[in-house]
Amino acid sequence: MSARTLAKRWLGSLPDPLEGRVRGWIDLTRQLIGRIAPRDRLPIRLSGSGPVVLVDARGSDLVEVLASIDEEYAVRHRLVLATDDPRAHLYHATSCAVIEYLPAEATTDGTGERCRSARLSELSRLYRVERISRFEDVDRQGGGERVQTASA
Amino acid sequence: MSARPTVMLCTSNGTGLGHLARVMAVAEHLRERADVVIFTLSAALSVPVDQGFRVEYLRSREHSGLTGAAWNSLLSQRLEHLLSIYRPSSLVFDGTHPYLGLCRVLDRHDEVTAIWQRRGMWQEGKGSEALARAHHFDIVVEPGDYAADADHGPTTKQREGVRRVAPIRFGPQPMSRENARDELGLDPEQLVGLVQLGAGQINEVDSMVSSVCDAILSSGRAGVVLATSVISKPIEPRDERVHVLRTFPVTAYMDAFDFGFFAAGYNSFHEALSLGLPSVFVPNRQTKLDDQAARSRYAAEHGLALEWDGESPTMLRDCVARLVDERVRTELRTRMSTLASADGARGVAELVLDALGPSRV
Repeated sequence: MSARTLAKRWLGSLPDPLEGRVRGWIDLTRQLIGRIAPRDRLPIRLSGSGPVVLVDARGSDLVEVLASIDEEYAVRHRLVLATDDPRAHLYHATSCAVIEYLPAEATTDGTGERCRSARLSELSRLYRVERISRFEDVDRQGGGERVQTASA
Repeated sequence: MSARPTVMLCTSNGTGLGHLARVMAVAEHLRERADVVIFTLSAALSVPVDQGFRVEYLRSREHSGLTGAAWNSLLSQRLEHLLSIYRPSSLVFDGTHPYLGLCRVLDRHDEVTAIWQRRGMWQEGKGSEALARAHHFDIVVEPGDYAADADHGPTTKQREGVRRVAPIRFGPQPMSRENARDELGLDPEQLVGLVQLGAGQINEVDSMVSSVCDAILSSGRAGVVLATSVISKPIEPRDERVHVLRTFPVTAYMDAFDFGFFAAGYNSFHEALSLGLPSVFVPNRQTKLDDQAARSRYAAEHGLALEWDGESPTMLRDCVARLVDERVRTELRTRMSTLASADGARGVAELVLDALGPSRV
């Protein structure tokens, strides 16, 4: 039996009020540790320079999306591209700072929009995103500077 | 909110599809009674997506350009986020190295039953640091290995409390030989060998592939189908007589073939042996941890398969000469028929569901 299981069983064997109190102490300790060493809340610093822009390209073909990103624009910005295209071999060696895979459909609890918002919020926090653009909105503006046009 | 419990199956990246295939096999059995989310670091995420699974992905450390500390922080943050969205009752990790970022999250979430699914056959003297992280999990489960008797690696010294199940094989039952040959466009009468020497991610397999294909064709007795990995760049065979099959898994077509040449990784080894395909195993000696040499040697010593060292042309020609001999293939098939079924995924799924408790399933 693992130490983790033993600890959980020991906690479970305590009388209710005492178990609640011990769990409270554990939570408090975790919070304190978290405040002292918040290594798991640190944003990820993207290489390059310029504002960080998140482009939500779910529903679009990744090859087309990558082909349509203006290179000059990509140099002046750090692009976080959210895609539901699972061809991960396309995720590397692009002009985007990072490409993140986000599943297309609703989550197991059926609240797709809430999930979508949560995922984008998380990415925004993680990479300190300054702007979010929907690629499909960008696309309608046409031309070879789609992302540039939408985000400017 | 769904009333069904959610199970999150996590895989390391690995260099092939081994980890991903094993969790998909388990997921197939869990699907009826639980919602399943596969969280993978593998570049082959399109495979579970195509199989209809809900998949979450994070680029592996090697592809991230981040330091180890920064990547583990990224992993922790992603996992925390996914746990908050999916609220899984159980998290199953298939990999040989539980990452620090994963362990930190598990330590913060004792409401989640943490299960480490790790195969054996580690090379001797390696992996002790990873094994020491077993205490972050509630349960450790080891999928069986037909060559387990030849396993002298570190996992054999830490078996206390470890649950063991049968070997795991992912993929559908093979279609009939006639249908498979028809789909692949193969001559129904010709002897055909399948060549599948790995993803080409660990060592350079191209020259080896060519050697094997040449040796089979040179025998004048058999044709060749070359199975290429869905996660490596497509291979252009030099010889136009070589058919190329780029699909995963290939198990559906297994009965189309009379024999095979395989890397001695966990998946190929158990696919070939459990489905009774007379085979030559070629150990990849460049893996970090997997003791493929011990696995293929065991199979050869016990008459379950043949072994090629990947170098000797004489040995290769001998393997081909033996495999095109019907008597040799019959002997191998007879030996393989004594092996246990590779249905360990069912055992893992039952273990996961048992851990949820009756009120949560």
